[in-house]
Amino acid sequence: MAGRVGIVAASATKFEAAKPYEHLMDLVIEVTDKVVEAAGINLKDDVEAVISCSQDFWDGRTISSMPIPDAVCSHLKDESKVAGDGAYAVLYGAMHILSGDNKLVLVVSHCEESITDGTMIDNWSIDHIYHRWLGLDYTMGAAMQARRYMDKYKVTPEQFAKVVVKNKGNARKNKYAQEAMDLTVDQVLKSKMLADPITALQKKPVSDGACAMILASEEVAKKLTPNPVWITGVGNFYEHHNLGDRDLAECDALIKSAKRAYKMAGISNPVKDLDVVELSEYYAPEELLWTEGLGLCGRGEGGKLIDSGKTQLKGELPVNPSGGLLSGIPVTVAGMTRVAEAVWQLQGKAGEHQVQGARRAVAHGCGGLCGQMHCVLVLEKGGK
Amino acid sequence: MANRVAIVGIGQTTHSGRRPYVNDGELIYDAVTKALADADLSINDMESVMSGNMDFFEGHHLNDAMLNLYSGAAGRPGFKMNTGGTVGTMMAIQGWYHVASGLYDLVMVIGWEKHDEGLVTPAISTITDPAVDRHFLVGAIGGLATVSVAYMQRSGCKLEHAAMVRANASQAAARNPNAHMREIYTVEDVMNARMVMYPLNLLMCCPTSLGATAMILASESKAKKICKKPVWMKDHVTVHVEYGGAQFGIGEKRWTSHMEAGAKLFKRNHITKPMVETQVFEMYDPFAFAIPMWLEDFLVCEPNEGWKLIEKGALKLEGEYPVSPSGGVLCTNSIGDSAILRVAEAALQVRSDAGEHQVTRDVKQALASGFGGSYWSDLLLLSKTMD
Amino acid sequence: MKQKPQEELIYINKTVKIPYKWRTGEVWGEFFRELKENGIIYANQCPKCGRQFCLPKSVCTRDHTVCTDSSKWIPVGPKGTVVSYFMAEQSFLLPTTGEMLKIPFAVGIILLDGATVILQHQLEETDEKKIKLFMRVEAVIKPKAERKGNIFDIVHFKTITE
Repeated sequence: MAGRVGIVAASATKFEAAKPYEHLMDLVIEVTDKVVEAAGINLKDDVEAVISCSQDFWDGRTISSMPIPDAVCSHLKDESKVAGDGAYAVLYGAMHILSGDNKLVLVVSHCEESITDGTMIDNWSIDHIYHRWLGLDYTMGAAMQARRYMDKYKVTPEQFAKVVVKNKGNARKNKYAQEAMDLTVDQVLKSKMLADPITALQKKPVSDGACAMILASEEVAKKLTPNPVWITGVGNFYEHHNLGDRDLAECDALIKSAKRAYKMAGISNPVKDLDVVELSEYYAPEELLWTEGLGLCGRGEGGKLIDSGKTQLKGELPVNPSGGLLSGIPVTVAGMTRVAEAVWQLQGKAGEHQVQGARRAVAHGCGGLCGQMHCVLVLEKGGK
Repeated sequence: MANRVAIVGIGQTTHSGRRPYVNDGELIYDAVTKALADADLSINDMESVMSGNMDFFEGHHLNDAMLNLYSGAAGRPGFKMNTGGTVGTMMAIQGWYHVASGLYDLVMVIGWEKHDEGLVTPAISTITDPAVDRHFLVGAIGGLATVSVAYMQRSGCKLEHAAMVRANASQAAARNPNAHMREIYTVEDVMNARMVMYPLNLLMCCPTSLGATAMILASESKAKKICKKPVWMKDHVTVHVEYGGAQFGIGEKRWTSHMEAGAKLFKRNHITKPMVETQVFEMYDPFAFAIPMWLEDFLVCEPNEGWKLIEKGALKLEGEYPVSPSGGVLCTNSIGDSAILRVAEAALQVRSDAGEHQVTRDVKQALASGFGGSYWSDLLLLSKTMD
Repeated sequence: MKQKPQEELIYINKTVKIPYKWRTGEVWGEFFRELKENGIIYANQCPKCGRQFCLPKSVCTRDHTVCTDSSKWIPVGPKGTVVSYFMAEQSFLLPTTGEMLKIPFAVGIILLDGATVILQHQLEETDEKKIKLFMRVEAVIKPKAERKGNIFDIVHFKTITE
């Protein structure tokens, strides 16, 4: 990649099951003001372009970025909207900088899942010729995926439950986290069955919130902070939509995304070269599969990986030390929060869930039925 | 330093009001195969495939992922952007960033909409905030009527001028086999059409159409190898404004997104006489007053001169400065597709490939615009040569 | 082998009905509260550039200054000027109610006296010939007992002569 893109600062709201007193724009204003302050810049004069990220269906509004210019002071400026996971917005922001068009961009994502019925929204993303009418939603999709995964690679429900115990436990140490819980495997497995084997505690809770970050060219980033975080690798791929065209126990799109990102970043051995991983697990079984896709273990060994304890907060390679999506993160914002958490880790700002000495991180965003699309970013600590 | 980007392949479907024998995906596939044929490439050459569209118009969430089999994005990189009417120009710009960033050399961008599968006006009404103004916008036409009224008042433009615009557009569309509404109308026909929202009658508003356009963009080194007539995406400007669009100049000098876009683009490219230094403008013209009003707003002509140029016949296909020689959005409006079609049509003009609706001037540089949202604008400059 | 299209196509007709609970946020919440309790239309002022927003905003759109200081809220209107308007003579489906729009339906872009930013609301006048640019209008506000704290507490804007 010609030149480097630096993330100067990142911000987020506290994530909550519902924020009834906040208009969506109040959330955007909050994270924008926070990140501008953290970066030490002037919103009106220094930000050249804004990339927002939201979904029309979740906001109940065509062109869900209509009120964004008012909230981010982008009157008469370049502004655009990604309609996908927040990680893509970070990628797009990086493209703005790499192209030389901009030196400093604001990337912001918002979603209030509590204002609507998520099951319906998920259902409306499924093809309208065949599968939508089955009443398929993402929980059922995740259940099918978990089943196939268990059948092919012999992972177990107990291993899925361990992900929940780990992540919701990690959330105790994250000031932004919505839902921290001290659980046992048994409690997770005995929670209400949604779609076998997905029990209620294995599904990401409904959440409201927003996230933002400031991206800058190498020169500007170095001026603004002694600790810029460099984006050193990116990769994103789609799977097929039709479930029949996929083997749900596989995640080729993620494998390809990670491979491309790692190649760019010069990572040949992810387990050795990475210090922390923040991935998007909407459902607990996904974390195991995504650790395989990210090359943190061999194919089919996701269950063994969680058993080994390596991905625990104090383990060799912590996965989701922030608590992940299971701690309560809204869709769309999700991927961007993974990048934000990785940024805070690399800047030494992760507080109680800091992974000591973290120098390289991978952040992962995904979306769609059974993780149909993936985006992987490799981030590296800048400065001393 | 940006990599230079060229358009090396263009494909568009025919546009119509209804096309019930084809589903959304097949529509996209139609445009994609045409673009690949035009570029003499295969889908396997595409390093990223991006599609843009407005969710509520067909009622599908995440439809870039849903239709990725047809677009060719399955198994490839890509993501969706949607910004309203500007989504098409956004796709061209998104493709530009993919290549200019150095991350990709050859990408495909697609804009599409299938309005016969949904209701567009209620969907557009939801661009407003539900608490305060959702009941007071009736689709796009409401807002466009308000700016038309204001334009007539300040510039002296009359209804007859809008009628002339539509009559001219019909002549252009009659020569464009891919346009939707190709009937020829006289000024009188247009004046007598049924009123929808004063001052916009049925013929002065764009139709709801369906269609898709795909373009293949390549980096300089790739374009020079694979394409005989690359069209260079020389520059692009995106300008968004506050909610409400600052259209009326209340308590301040009226300065809209179009004006900012025109000022930025022309300054950066050292263009002082746009009607001389560019030879054609495919403008996003969703209503008949758009051409005169926005030609002024884009700073292509002087204030209050737009409608006078219409009177003189200067903006017709054979005129001194053709605007929307394809018939424009006035004759073909599939929202996710409309803006990218402006870029595609402008590119065809630069390549001298527009067939019967090719303008008579020798086109070296062309302008294309997108419009949407809260009166946001995109403006692109295309060029036959790199410099 | 390609078959000729059949006469009867299979259609799946579905009306999208998705429930939403939108938030107003505190600033508009305050606006609607004042409208409901006291029948007063408020604007708020940006302390930096002085623009007066009706409907009120939490931050200024031009300089991002916070505008939530309640001491800077000013009553505006109820009279105003029509800066532009549209009049719908064709009915369309309303997305919030699922019903067809009652026509003729006129909406004004209204600059309330004392405000710098416009408000959109229904005009009482439905004869297009009688709507003139820059004509004066006045908000018709529901009696207190009927007010609910939403935008319809303003019934519409009636034409006045001044």
